[in-house]
Amino acid sequence: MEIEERKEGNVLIIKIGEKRLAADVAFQFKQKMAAFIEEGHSTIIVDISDLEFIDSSGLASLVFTLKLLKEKDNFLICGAQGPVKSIFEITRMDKVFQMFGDDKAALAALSA
Amino acid sequence: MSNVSLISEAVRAMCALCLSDKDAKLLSICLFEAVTNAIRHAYNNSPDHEVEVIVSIDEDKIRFEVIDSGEFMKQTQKPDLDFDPEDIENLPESGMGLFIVDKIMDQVTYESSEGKNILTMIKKL
Repeated sequence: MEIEERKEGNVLIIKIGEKRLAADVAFQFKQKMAAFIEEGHSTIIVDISDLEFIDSSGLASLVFTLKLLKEKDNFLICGAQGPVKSIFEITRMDKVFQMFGDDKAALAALSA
Repeated sequence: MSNVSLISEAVRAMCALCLSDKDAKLLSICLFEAVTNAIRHAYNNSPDHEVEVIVSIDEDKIRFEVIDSGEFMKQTQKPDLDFDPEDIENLPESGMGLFIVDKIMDQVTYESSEGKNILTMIKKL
């Protein structure tokens, strides 16, 4: 799956370059995130602004990542919109994850 | 799984004829959840089994029927998703699929007949 990564200070920003985070790619995503954390990245922003489709497996892969990082303040999500945002709200996962409109807002929150 | 993505995309396109783009995508997510559920639980991820998908669009509703001939999934209660958002360790990583379907669709029924399991999902227009 297509993932772009960049660093802003000690923050790793991951942009998912796919339109779907679902059962067919969720395992790959989990593996990639586990590898990033294994490398020592402890503060991560995931940009899901390109996502148009997320299923329960996609959500679970984000929960998995949060559990590895252990701290809500260390794992931020930005760019959720339309049906993807609705799925977070329906499942109350918008109460679990810190969510922002874009990566700038997420970075600003980390700096505050 | 790539076939499941194709089916859900086809369903999205059909639903977009009578729903907003956002609602069509939400329904395609429901369909995707139902089919992957059948693959995972009815067929235990075993390959080479058939899942039949029937889509009907009437004046007042859209109906999906997802049919398999695998194991019947016993679920007597409405799916629930109860967790403490602050309790990271105990956040759910499973069981969200049917909850999502139940919240988005207006009616969800599951029955078994003549060796086939049928999950029927209806969205009123």
